[in-house]
Amino acid sequence: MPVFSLWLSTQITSPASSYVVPIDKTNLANVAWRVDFDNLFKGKQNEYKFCRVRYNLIGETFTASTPASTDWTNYVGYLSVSLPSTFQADVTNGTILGLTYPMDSPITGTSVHCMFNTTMSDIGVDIITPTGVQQMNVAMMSWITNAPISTMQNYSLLLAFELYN
Amino acid sequence: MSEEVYSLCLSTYSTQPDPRNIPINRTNLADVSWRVNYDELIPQEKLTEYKYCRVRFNLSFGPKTLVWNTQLGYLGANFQSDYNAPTTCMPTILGVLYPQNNPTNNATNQVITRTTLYEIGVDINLSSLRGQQVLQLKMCNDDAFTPMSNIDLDWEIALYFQLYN
Repeated sequence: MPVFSLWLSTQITSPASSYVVPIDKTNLANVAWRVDFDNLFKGKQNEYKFCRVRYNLIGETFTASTPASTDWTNYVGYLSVSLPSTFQADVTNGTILGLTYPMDSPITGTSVHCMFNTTMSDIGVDIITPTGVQQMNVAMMSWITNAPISTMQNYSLLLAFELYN
Repeated sequence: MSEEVYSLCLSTYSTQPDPRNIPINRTNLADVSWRVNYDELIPQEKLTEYKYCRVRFNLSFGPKTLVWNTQLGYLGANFQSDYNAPTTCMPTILGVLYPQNNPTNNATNQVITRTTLYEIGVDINLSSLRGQQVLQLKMCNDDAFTPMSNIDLDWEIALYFQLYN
């Protein structure tokens, strides 16, 4: 049951490796990367039937609204990835990896927030094992509009793909 | 699942180095190297008994004044890994790092205390854990290229190697 991990950051401005290339980060709530999954899995995907995905998300700070209490409602949502899944109820915006939500920055109190969530200790979600070189969109979606959250800051995302039988 | 866990505790303090785990370069505390004898840590027959090795860590550093967006990044290591998309900064990404307020001094200064013990962890090449090697740990910015700045306090880390099939 090997785990393959992938670091994505909207701060990456040029290819950080041959595995991950940022394609379009014009909208930080819907960023596209080109990912070489064959290079990442190195053939191990042929030994396992299933692929489970978990993530660790952490974003840069943004200024709280006035009143700040509206930020929770405005920023709660879910992390969506364009990799297909036959293990999830169909939704219109890709595969839902898990929830996202804002919180007060752990070092600057209540005037600024950041996005945060981890599913690394959760059960995760299953997707069809991705292959080849493909464009992967990662989007932070609003739980109200089902559209990308409008004012997103730079963020980092550690994705963990667990292959298993 | 058959498994065993081997652990290694490292500190950047050099005054009383453990003779088995000697820091050899701590000029830049965001980029520290140790000489580790893996043959003493892990019985070599275990390298054929098990197929995989998953690494988790428990890190403690600080306190000092830290900035969320500046000290947001990841802990990289020079472990050989066929399970990790390497970045320009380091070949293996062990997990996300971020500052928080000092638990004993609240908002006047910050610490980085981070554990991945309850997360899925990352896989490295078990077969590479042989003999005496230089283990390099680097705190990298989320842009995946540069070591963090302003890491000028000593720190300690426990690494856990989970061998499994």
